[in-house]
Amino acid sequence: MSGHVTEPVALAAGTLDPEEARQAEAHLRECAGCTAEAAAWRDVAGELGRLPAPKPSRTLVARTMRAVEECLAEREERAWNRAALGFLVAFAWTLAVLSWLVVDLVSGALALQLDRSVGSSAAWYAAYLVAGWLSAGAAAVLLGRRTREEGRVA
Amino acid sequence: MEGQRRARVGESLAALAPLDREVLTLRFEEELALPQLAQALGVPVPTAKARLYRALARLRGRLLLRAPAEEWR
Repeated sequence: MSGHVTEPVALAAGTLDPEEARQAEAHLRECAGCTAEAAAWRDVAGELGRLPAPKPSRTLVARTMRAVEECLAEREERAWNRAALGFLVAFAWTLAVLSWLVVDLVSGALALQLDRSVGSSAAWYAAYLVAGWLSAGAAAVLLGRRTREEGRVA
Repeated sequence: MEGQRRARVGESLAALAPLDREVLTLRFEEELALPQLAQALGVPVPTAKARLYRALARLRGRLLLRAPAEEWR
């Protein structure tokens, strides 16, 4: 143990485990210099522990509470938005898969009515999906821009 | 005399850098043990320990500057 350097301050700081503290106390009994040092550190630490805790002003407490509540509400809203987005994505995929049946049916009926081929139902379906994704992408870009603008205003 | 000493500790504490003041407040006013102190600071235990010792040393340095030497030895 490198006794003379950190023990006195560590004793006052109360950061030694019981075994270390026991060894440090044993060292203090043999070393007058360290004893004086330890006493000086204990004085400082003791005064620190007896300092009156400062009381924050009512306005500060109120303002802080409001800020915390706003922060919590915002976090909750964000979580809700994420859940809603997840649901919408799942819903959109379900619809896309189900709509295959509809597209197949409609393109078949059209071909019958016009009495000529209007292309394969798979091509129709692909066009439908691409159109869907494009409009969803445009909506996402617009929404993102609006959210950013709101953030800048707030 | 006692009151004067305490007032000087309070003033010296207030004059410390925020990082030093934080660790001293958590240890001696909130009375956190070392592991909780390290967690509150968001640093490993040895770092918290080093910060605590350094802050105490800076506080004592300020007290020695302000007060008669025999008061703090």
